[in-house]
Formats: sequence, C-alpha cells, structure tokens
Amino acid sequence: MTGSVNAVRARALIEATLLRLTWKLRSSTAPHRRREIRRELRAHLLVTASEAGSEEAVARLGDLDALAEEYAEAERGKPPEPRYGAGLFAAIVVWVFVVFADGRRLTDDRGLNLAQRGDFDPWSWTAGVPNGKLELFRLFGDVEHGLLFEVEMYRLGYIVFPLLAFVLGSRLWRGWRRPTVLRGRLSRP
Amino acid sequence: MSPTHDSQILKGVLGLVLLQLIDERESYGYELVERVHALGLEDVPDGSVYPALGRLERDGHVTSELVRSPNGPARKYYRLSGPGRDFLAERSAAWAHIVNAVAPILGPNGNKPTGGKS
Repeated sequence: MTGSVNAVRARALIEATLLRLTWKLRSSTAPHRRREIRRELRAHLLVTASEAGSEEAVARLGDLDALAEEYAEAERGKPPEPRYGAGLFAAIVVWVFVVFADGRRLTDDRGLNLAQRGDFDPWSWTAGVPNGKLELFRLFGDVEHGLLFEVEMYRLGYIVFPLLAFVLGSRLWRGWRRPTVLRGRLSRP
Repeated sequence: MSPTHDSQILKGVLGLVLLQLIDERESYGYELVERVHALGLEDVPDGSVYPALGRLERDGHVTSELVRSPNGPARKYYRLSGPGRDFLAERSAAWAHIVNAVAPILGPNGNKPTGGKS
C-alpha cells in the first residue's frame, strides 16, 4: 500500500513539474510542440526516477525557467510544420459526417398543412458547378409531400470535403517554404 | 564559477559531446547525463541534456529506439545516424581548429599579461 502511495506521489510530482514547464512555454511554443516536449521529458523523468528517485529526477532538471528557455530557443526561427495527424483526424471526422448526411431526410407533417395554404413547388439547390460533373451535394424538398429537405451527397463531395478538412486540419500550406532571400536582393531589417 | 561550466560555452559544444558519446556507445538519456558528468561536467543539469537530445533527434543526427527494461520504464536508446556521423566529423574538425587557434592565447599558459601596468 505504501509503495503504491509513493508511486502515485512520485508520478504526481513529475506531472506537476511538467505542467509548470508547459505553463512557462505557453507563449513561446506551439501547443502540439508543448505536448511533444511534455511526452519526451516525461519519458526521461520516469527513467531517471526509477534509477534515482522522483525528487532527485526533478531536482536534476535544474532551474525550470532555464529549461523552458532551452526549449523555447530551439523553437525560435523554426517555421511551423504541417500536422499530418491532425489533418487525417479532421478528414476522417468529416468523411463520417458526409456519410451520415448523405440521404438524410427531414420530414414534417406540418408541411402538409402548410401546403394547404398555398402552392409549394418542390425545390432543390445544388452545391458545385451544376453541369453534372462538378457537383458536391444537392438539397431538395417537397413540402406538399411532407419532405422539408433531403441531402444527396455526390461522389465528388465524398472526396472534396475530407480533402479540404485534411488541408485545413493539417495546415498543409506550412509545408510550402518561401525562400528567405530572393536572388539579387538582400533582406533588410 | 568553474570555467568549465560556463553555460554559454557549454551550450555550443554540448550537442557535439553528446554525439561523440552516442557514437562510442548507444545510450539512453539518464545514462548519457551520467556519462557527461563522468567527463568532469558535473554541473550540467539534466535539463540541458534532454533538450539537446531532442534537438539532435529532430535534426536527424540521432535516431532513437524504445527498449524494454526489467527495472522500470522503457529506455529510449539513442543511436548516431549517417548524417549525424558526417555532422560529428565536420564539427569536430571545426572545434579542433578553434581550439588550436585560441589555445595559444586562452590556454593555461597563454593567458598571462604581456605588458602594461600591473
């Protein structure tokens, strides 16, 4: 019992140290890099704690401000990288949403009552270039038959929306580097 | 403060020291810290070594592999990469050149006053 309590205390000490470091890095380091740093440092600290004890492991890190500065310095001047994992996650979420939305119908019997008050023609709206080739999805409804709207997703929508989510989620544009110095022209501060 | 522990001087050379130690023998973080201390750099905190290892790995100079340990959590062993070996050779030569250049004036016998009022 005492052993497990000590293990929990040791882990808590390490996690508290990591949180303090993360807080110090909040203005200088991107969130995903802070997570990476925390994961990397946690692995080192756990090994050191297993060999020298958790308090010693934390003490041996030295001044946390200096440590934060070490990490922040490594980040300075480095252009942010695309986050492919986040992009993939976003693409999967959007793909699931597209599958869910396809064929979804919203019906309401009140539409029948509504229809009695006037003449409602069926309506439809297509997203994309309506030439039969570049259509993403179509919304349509027929109030007189109680159908407020139905979503029909086209094959292109299954490709474009997840692709767009991947580009936005991963910040793919970060992968395109602009030259820092143009030929024949020196950058001036 | 001991002259060997000047953080600014050390910062420039710590990565090189780590690469050399890893080239001699694959090691994990804590072991590398101990080996750095064994060189006489006892005041170098773990908090300088771990970020330096992270930088070396991100720059592709070392690769790492998690190895299970019967005595606790898995150890992350660092190994020199091909580009890391080239980098080490290049920077070691540059370091030797600097040391040779400044040793006559900054070395143990070279930093005596050469004249003027004492």
